[in-house]
Amino acid sequence: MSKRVLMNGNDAVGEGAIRGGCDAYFGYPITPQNELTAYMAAHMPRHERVFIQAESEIAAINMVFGAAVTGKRAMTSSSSPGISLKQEGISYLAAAELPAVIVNVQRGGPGLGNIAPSQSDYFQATKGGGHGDYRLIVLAPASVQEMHDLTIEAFALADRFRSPVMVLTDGRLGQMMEPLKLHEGKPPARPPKPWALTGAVGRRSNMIRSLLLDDGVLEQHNLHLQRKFALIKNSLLKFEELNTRDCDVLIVAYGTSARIAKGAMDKARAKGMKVGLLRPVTLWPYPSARIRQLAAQVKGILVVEMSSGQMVEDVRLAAGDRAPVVFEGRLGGAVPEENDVLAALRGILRRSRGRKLS
Amino acid sequence: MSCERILIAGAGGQGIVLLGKLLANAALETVPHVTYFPSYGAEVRGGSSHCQVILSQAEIPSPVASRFETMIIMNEESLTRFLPQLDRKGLAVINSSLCTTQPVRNCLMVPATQTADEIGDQRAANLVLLGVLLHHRPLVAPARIESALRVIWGDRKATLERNLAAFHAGLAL
Repeated sequence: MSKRVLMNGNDAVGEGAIRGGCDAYFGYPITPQNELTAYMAAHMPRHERVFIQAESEIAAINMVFGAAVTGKRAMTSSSSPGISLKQEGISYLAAAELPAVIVNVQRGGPGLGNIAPSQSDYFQATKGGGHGDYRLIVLAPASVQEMHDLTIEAFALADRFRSPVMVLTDGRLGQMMEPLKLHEGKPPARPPKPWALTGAVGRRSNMIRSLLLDDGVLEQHNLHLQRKFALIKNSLLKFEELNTRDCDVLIVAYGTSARIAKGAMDKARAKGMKVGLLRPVTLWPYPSARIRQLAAQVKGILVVEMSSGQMVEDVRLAAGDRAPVVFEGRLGGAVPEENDVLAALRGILRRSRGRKLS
Repeated sequence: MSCERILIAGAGGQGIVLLGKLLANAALETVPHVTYFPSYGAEVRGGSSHCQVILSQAEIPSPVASRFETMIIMNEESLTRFLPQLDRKGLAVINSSLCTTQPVRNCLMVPATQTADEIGDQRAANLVLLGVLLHHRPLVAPARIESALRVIWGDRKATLERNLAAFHAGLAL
């Protein structure tokens, strides 16, 4: 077993990308993800791979497109305002079914906002972001270890589904150092890519494009994409469940918020409150079915986010009228504290007792 | 020690970040859960710099604390700003060479810059303070700090020796 090393989350993503077989990284600096770009600048050339600091975020995502069409594993990273700039390119990647990894180390928005951690790009990541009918596989790490592991997995999923994959994290996870074990195995296997533009020697030429003007062709292409998204929904779902067997209140939270929620859950349990936690690791596909099941057994659901309430909409859709859904969040780069979560849990339990009495 | 929250604060250039990483790395093999968190953004030499290290037997929900069991404070500005966040039973090791305020409670005043200067390098004042801290609170074995310093300074023998001397001076104070 490998030794524990101390790394910050941004570096752990970078080393994950290298060990995940990333052939080319294209980036443009922005806080709080700069360590990642710097890590790739230092390490990619040592592995004889491509590092380019692009002239802009838009250039970087289009360089990713260019590398991906050749069948290479390509990646870019940025933080919220920079990810907004990349949306056109991400839509093109989705349309052209190109594997690619995009890392968003979220910071406070809207606009240039600030450089503090945030989760206010959930809608952008999971509901489109760019134009057109597409879905992005979205992975949400909650530790430096997962920053590393999920980046490697992102490359595997991108190739497997011929799809862009986003690692959605935040400035706190990017900046914090924590021990982790580095991936020691081989990179994920590379599936054959007969569609790639590799020089059409001895075969018919391939064409990769997203402009489909002929009558009905674009609708057919969209139907094909929808079948793929349905396949992803049926074959990919990751979440962590803690103490849900007997819980009266279920917390749903991801990433940094899930760490805070878990701390609050442990304190609540110590005080005799039956609290459980469901932590989505894939934000799309979303564990709606499991939340629906759990909603039928609990007195209330608490959603904790570093936003004004974005993921809470998916929880409400899943829970329906089976359980009341309460939101606890902080905005603009602020992070909820354990005591805020505890107070919200107490409120839910108090109200549920009130309902029974009346 | 079930959970030790440590704040290191001073001015950019005093080795605040280095000290935090050194401590976190030294704890890696003996403490189950370790986090390090910097103040990040537009940091400049001479500006305010601080970082936090948490050493814990249990998982650490947040790497950012607002109360601390332990502090290393390297200048007056940080003293004024952070000392109110020291736990009632906490311990602060303060660089008295650069602080004029005389705090009353739970503080060890150490002339770290002066001590380091006498050793031959003012910049090693951070290690004097770390030595003093570890003498009073054995959070990690001094040998682990020493081996981490050897890794950092590698072939720069003179620098390494001055840093080790500063660390040892702190341990003995």
